[in-house]
Amino acid sequence: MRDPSELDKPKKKPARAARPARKAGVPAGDALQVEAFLRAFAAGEHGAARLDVASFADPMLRGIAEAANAAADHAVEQLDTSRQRVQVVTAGVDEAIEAMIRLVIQGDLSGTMRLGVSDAALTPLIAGIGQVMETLKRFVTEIREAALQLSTSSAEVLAAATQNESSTSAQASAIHETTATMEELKGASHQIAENAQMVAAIAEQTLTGAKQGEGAIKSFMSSMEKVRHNAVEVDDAIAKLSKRVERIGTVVEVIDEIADRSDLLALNAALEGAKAGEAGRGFSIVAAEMRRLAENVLESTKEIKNLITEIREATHAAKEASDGNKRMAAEGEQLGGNAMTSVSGILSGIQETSDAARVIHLATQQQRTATEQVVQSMSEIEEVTRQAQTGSKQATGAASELTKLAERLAELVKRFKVE
Amino acid sequence: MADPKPTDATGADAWYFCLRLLGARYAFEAPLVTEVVRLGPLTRLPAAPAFLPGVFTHRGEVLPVLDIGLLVGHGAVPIRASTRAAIVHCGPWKVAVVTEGVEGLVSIPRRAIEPPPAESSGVAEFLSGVGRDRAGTVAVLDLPRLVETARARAVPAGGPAA
Repeated sequence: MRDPSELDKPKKKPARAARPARKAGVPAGDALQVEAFLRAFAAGEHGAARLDVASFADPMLRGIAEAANAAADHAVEQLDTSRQRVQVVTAGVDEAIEAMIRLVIQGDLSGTMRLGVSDAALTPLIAGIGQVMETLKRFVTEIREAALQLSTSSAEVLAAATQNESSTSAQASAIHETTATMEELKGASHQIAENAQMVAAIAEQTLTGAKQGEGAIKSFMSSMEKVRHNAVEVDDAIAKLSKRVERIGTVVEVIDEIADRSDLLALNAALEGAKAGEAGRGFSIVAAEMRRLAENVLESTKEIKNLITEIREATHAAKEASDGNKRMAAEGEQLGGNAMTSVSGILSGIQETSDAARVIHLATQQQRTATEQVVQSMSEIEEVTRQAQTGSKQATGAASELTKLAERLAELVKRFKVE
Repeated sequence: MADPKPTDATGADAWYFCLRLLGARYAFEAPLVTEVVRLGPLTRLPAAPAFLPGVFTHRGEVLPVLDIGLLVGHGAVPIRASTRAAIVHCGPWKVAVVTEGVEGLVSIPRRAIEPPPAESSGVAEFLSGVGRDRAGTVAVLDLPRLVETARARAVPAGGPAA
């Protein structure tokens, strides 16, 4: 706003200078003088001598000359003033640019521009520079923040990359371990397969043994049945024997009775003989002999009776023993039945064991195949992991480089003082 | 053997009928015995003394049965199916004497008969002497006196058929 008004002033000079030129022509000499003066002034000869007013006769010309002089003086004065102002402004601009350059070089953006020269014309410049500085300050601040963020981020990236690297290496070692474990697992499953095969073989042997046991139990049970059958036969025999003995007892009773009667008869015969005196003597001897015989018979029957009693006791004992046999045989059969049930259970158990062992054998073989596949896959994964490890190492290097760069950037930005 | 009476005075052997009674051996003159029988089922007589446990029929005769054990004040002689009785004749009386067993005829010299112990109680009352043979001591009963005593004791209860 000030600039245009300042620029207007030089425009007035030609306007004022033109005026005397237009007024010339009335008196020739004086007018020419005035014209020459004005032309010279217009040509820039500001230091030329003023018109000698006193020499002008014409009052009009004099007045013109006076006015021309005054205009010239004024114009010169104005020109001087303008020159001085230009000088001041130039110095101010120089100072301002110099100060700005210095500030930029030093990186100090903290202060505001202060100039030794103060001129209204410089105000826009100073304001512009201030704006530039502000912008720069803002940029620097933003860059600083960005550098800080970059530093932080790159540190994070580095940390992440480092962690990634360590994770990858841990993963690699874990994979290695897993591979080793899988190898062991493979060995173990091989062992299991062998053991399962052995179990199956043992189960087969046991099955044979148990079947033999089953046969043995069957023959034992048939033996027990025979024993029971025999015991029944023995029972029958004992019962028959008992009946026979009873019959013998009856017969012996009869014999006893007969012997007793014989004895009685002989006794009476002896009495008769005694009555007959000498004549009955032989009769008495025979009777006595008969009595002795009868007594012998009685003694014998007594013995037989004792024997029968003994036989009765013996048969009773035999009956009891045979009953015991029957009981034992029944128990034996029951036990055999129990053993049979047990052996049947064992047989089915062994069959199941054998089947299970076979299944285990198959399963472990499959497991072996699967384990081998896993080992194969693990080695592939290991290769990939190794690559990932290399990549992550590179990433770590890059991240550390980046961190360094970010630090450097921060250092650089720090050179600019903002506050 | 068969002639005791003629040798009586000279002290020759005499025949005795030996039986077991009251757990001991007793004997009496063999000629008194007519027969030895098994004692069949007895018929008890009402109001008869205990030593006459009943009567039984033998060869058409009804004979009283005499239990010497009860007569002399000892226990009764057990009567079973096999129990033997000696049928004796003592004068007009014919009775069956219950025994625990009959040994038979034994021959004892009369000189060998010693007088009975001086007791007058129980069976000793009816002893005529004590003899000895190969089987041991044998007490000789005075059977006629014994039967007489029995008859006498039985009379107050009722007159016997004579």
